[in-house]
Amino acid sequence: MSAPTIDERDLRVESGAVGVNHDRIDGPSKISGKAQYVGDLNVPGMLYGKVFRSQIAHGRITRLDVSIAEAMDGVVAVLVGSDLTDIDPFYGHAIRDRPIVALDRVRFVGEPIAAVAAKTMAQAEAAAKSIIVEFEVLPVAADLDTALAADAPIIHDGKTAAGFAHGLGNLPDRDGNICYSYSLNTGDLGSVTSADNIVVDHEYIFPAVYQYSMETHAVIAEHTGTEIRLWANCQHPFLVQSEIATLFNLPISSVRINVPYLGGGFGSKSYTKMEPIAAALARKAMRPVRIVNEVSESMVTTRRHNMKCRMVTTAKSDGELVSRDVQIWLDTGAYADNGPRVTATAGDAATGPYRWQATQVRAHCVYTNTAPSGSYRAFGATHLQWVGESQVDEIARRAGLDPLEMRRRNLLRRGEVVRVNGKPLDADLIGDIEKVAASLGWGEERKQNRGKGISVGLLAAGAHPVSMASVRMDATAGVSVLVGSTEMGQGTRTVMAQIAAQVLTVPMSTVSVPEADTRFTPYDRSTGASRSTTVAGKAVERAALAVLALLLETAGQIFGVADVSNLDVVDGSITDGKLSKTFSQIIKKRFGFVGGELIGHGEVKPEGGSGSYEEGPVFWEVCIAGAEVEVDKNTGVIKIIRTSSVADVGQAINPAQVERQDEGATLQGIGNALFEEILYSSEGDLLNDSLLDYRIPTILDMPETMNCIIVENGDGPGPFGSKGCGEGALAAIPAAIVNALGDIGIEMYELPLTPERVWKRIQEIQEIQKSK
Amino acid sequence: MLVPSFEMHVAKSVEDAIKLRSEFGDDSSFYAGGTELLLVMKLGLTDLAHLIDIKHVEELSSISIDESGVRIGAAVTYREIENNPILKSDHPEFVQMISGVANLRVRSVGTLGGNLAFADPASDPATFLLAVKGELEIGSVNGKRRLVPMAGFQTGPYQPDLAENEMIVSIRLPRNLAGGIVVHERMKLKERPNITVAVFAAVANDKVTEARVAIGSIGLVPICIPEVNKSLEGASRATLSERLRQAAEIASTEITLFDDANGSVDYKRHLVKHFVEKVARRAIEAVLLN
Repeated sequence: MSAPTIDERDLRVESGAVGVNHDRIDGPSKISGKAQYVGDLNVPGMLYGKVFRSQIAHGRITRLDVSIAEAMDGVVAVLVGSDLTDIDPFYGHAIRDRPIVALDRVRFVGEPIAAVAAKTMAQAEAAAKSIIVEFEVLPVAADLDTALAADAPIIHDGKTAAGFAHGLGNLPDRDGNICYSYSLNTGDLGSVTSADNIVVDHEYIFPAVYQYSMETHAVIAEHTGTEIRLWANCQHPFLVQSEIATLFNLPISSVRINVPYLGGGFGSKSYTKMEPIAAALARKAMRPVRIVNEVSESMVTTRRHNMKCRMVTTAKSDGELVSRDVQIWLDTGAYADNGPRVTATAGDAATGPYRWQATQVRAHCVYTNTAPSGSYRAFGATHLQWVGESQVDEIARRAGLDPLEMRRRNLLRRGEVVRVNGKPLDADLIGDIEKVAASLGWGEERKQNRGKGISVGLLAAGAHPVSMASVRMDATAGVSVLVGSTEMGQGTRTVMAQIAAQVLTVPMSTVSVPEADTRFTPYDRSTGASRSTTVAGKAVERAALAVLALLLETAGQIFGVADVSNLDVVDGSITDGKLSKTFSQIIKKRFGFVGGELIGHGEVKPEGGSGSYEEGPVFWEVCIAGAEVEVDKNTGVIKIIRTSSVADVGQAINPAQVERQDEGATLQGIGNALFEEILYSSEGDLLNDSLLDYRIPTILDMPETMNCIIVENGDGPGPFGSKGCGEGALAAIPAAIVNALGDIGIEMYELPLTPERVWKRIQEIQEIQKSK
Repeated sequence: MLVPSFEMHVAKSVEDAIKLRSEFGDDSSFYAGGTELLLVMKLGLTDLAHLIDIKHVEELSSISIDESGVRIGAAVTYREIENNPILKSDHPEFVQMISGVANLRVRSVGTLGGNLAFADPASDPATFLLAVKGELEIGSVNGKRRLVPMAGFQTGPYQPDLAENEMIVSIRLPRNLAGGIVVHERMKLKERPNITVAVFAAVANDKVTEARVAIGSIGLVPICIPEVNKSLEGASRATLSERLRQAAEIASTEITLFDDANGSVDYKRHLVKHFVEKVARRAIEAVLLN
């Protein structure tokens, strides 16, 4: 008996891919150590790159001598600013303010001044150490207050152009060190003030935080003269492609980027990071070069903005919210990076999802002599939600209302306006927060030194809704999904496979999702803003439907049926009710002989309007969580007893992955709330650039219970009614923890909640109580 | 950053190791677990041409227990201590302290001798050994050996009282604690502890006859303050709370502290006070109930 042919395989296994906890398709290769990351890749002729970085925060370069380095063993090239005279060497997608390497001035400790390419890593490191630089030292503004002072040193005094993807309308001129401002006003603040109102007014501090993905920034670059090739661990390959093309005066298609697995991103690998310097170094060396950052180098490559915020919220004595007035200053470091967008998103998050008579938000993005700040999971929302939500709780306490009741009364309902001219609310927030409260045992008897807190917020998600995908089906009905979403641990390749498998009714084992290669993979705007499943996933769904349409077209001819809607698609076959043909048979019939392949294209673009930020978002990501904490009043140490978060996802494509996303975001939220804080000296030196001194949460810091509640109302714009997740819990958890502390009378205005900060606050509160 | 290249020499005996060290001088270091040394080399803080591997020296790699006490070879790993059945049954407080050091990966290769020789100001073992009157066997040239108390061994941060041609051969613990009890606690904000307090207490006729409070990981070196110990001696159940308050007060004012990333002097003083009172109470109450 002959072996069954591929046509006769039983395709009925594993049918029904969506809503199922399929194992990660990248799991086996990662667990076995076979998965390749940029640092594992070797390109023939590849050199090793090492960046020479500034040791001072602000200064004019008076001498740069690389002659010793150039003469050292194994050194092929040393890149310096003067190598870049034939191009416009400034990059930055929002503001084109950053040179590939310092030209005449450095603006932060860690700024690249030169880069060495050598035959071994040791030779590159030794050569980088031999570089001599001298400066005329300039005054340093290492923090917001110094940078905003009247006599502040001005960090950028030349003209800077808008970046290619700033998307923020006309960028206003710089105002001192303020590179961008965002404002949002509704109603008339002056007319709603009343002497009877409850007024809560505080200043808040949010620290600088590092995204801390396990893998640092890494890139291999090759410049052939007519083409640049990059192997980069970037989240947004197509935006990097555009930016590199612009920098080096090439057509976009002459820049080719491959993106293997990322060892985490969290926004640290959003937009362009180490690619320009690697490309410029490879151009000079005329050979491929690989640069892999140390952790300490990645910490000065990007970070989360630290923030100062002044917020005033007023409410009627019964707890009805009236007005909010917010001023925000975000420290974007020496270069804007994604600062303007973070500033706008923070501004949007400032008022929270509440009904107001009047609001005023003024958010400013400020240059300082510190490492540039960019994206980090739930940016803007994480900054503001704990501020706004702690004021809502303070009002509830003063009005004698339960925090849950306070929110029932004031939260927006589905369809209400969140941001004027933007998308109305597309979720049931009250339903969500009730679920969180219930899972925390809301209203149960309080235990000593324990408090509970809840928080609600929204995050503008989806970014610019442009994604494309191709689905190819070969003659054996094997499916390849070509989609630009970067697999950075979130499981996007598995989700894309599930979407294609569901549409095509084929088993998951026949679907592959290769890495993005911009030469072959269709355009996808970015991997971030919780958009991949919703936007890129929609493109995959459409591409798969296009393949299905081709199958039905041929099947119609085979069955002699004019209206293909009379045909059924069942587990990889098409039937007219009597006869059934497998996809493979249909493809062979379509092309004859050994067959060909079917290619479906899927496209997502703005469905009206320009897809601009103001008209958006694609969807409002729900940021809802609760926490129960216990405080050791003797040490100030906080223990997180349990957390609860809501993943309001419309439809979970893979519920287990949704839960893991929320758990990861919860743990990062705990890190942001309790531990993480990048420390700078007044001279701009980074004081804690390793895990010895920079504290991230570990497995021992996990709450006893982390509860993720998946809400599936089918109300998302993505495939099967889905919408994105994965960021909301990070924004919501710090707020929930702060509110849980407030619940036991410890109102905090500065993060992280280090034991010392909490202990001092407890002493302060005791002093106040004594003096009363 | 890459570890700079170096030559590795495998020592066969203590004498051999000391001979190699005398030969290479300050361009060399003993190498056991490497959990501190390799980190320091990777950070470029030291650039050594020669490492002397002492992991294969039998005398340094064994644990022996007899009537005179416990002898732990300097190159014994934390993990070997944790898993030693006699130590687990006879010295549970010691084993519990050791099993809280760093993390499993560090404990699997890191050594007790290495910890003490590195003389990190943040050290649970150094503080614990101070409280139990631990001793160190120091080997030097020509086969000379001397026994020194843990007290005074650390002269400053990263400064052990060791000459260039000397090494820790073994760590000694008293066989039993002469009717006393030792209690150890530490608080950890980051990778290393930010305060460690170990208290030994012994009682006769319902009165504290001996108390030793060791405070570490918060000042420059782990210390025992005689006035603190004295203030607890003679304490009875009736006077205990008052004595504990005194001891904690003295400890928090006598200790030399400094502001750093682990906290302000104010906060650190408070922690000293809190942990001295808490840990000493645990030790004394336990021994009073015995």
